Amino acid sequence: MKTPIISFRNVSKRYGNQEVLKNITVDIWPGELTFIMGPSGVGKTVFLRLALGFEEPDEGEIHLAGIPLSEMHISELSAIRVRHIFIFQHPALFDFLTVIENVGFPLLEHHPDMDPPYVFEKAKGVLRSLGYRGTFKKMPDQCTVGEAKLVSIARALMLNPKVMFIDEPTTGLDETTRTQVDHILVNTHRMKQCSCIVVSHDVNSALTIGDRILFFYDTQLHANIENPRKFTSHPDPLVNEFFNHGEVF
Amino acid sequence: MNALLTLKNYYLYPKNQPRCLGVDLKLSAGHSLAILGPTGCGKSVFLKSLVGLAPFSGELRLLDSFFHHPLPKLLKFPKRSLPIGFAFEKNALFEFLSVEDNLSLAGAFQDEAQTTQKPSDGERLLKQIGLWESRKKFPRALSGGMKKRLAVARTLIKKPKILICDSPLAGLDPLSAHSIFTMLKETVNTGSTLLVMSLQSYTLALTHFTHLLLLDSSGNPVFCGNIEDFYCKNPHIKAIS
Repeated sequence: MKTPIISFRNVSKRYGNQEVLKNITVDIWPGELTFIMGPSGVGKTVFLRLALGFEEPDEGEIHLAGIPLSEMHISELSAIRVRHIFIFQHPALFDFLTVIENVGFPLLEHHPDMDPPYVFEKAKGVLRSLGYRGTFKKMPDQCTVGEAKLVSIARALMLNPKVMFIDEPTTGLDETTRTQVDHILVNTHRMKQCSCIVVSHDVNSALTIGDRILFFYDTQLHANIENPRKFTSHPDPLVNEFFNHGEVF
Repeated sequence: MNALLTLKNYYLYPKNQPRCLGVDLKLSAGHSLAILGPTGCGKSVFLKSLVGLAPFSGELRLLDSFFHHPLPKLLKFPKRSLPIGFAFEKNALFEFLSVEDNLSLAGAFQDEAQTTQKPSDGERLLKQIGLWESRKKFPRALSGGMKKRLAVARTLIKKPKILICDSPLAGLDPLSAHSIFTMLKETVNTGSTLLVMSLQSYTLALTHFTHLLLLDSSGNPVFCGNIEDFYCKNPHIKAIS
């Protein structure tokens, strides 16, 4: 029987008096390209952070790859994080390293015995396969927003992740670059059989390439849309309003 | 109708590389200009040049003032007193001021002789953008969408004749984006304001704006003019949209 990559059971999270997530129960299965959507401030990013153990829930239990996070030792969690990569909303590149050094960094960090020239050649290959056209030796502050996103995705791919958690991959990008990032997600997901969990506001991407959409609203999991490519309307008018506006904005 | 913004032989200098934007462009109150182009093509630099934050050369007529710079130069004019609102891409809110103080400070910068702001304007705007309940909070306690709404509202409190917004919808969920865009459109629809805005959505630009400036990846203009001319040159796009 398949084990869910992530399993939330009655999970709640609050900051002070503010409830961010309330009683969330959901399973995310391997091989899926899942989109997490909803208005700003409903706890989408918190959901990802909880799933990877960056935050602890106030109530409920979270299983990552079948193991309860609460029972995991920090060393076990670190080992799992190598195969479960988080790509931050802001590219989070090291500003003192060049593009190629940023991409090669995780492999050199986790496999210090590897030959740096080999790692950097591999990094160039990954960057080229993503359509990166800039120079390899430039610093992150010389990259455009789109290039920085590509570099952060390339850096994640260097470790051949089993699961990628991606926070807002297309925010601030023009439509051409957005489509390019969508292609990268689909290729990574299909070719490398990597599961992707994507927090996004990009309705067009979610409806085009997603396998499932989890829609959060008002601290709750409001809708679970299976097979988004066939989505036409939802019984809840709020969900429809969100998706209708999303196709324009 | 008097033009509020006119450009002629307009050059920008991102990274000291001159780029020509020199297409005759004349915009009046009630018009809206959408600036579209790939990431890094210079949309923000263009908008900043209009308020003296990036150098340009060429001719620029802004409200009643005429500027002619044969060489690249920053525009110099009493920015605070002119009815121009500028919403930055990264919001540029004052982190040490509450929501209501961020808003009222923008109103206070207005020249006294020109100000038409009433004390109730702030309250009305805060209610309109859904931040009345959060008026005592500081920016760090707001979500991305709330910060964006506050940044846009801060430009509106000055009742600007020219409203310049740098990607005000980037990173917002569709509901927040719709509410901010509606607020901007309502301001333009009063007929006294010109909206100049960079954005990422081609669909939105082609369906809700009167003028379009389309840049290629090097920052050169592919099209500059009103939407009807754009459709005349590209009838297949009208059919799609």
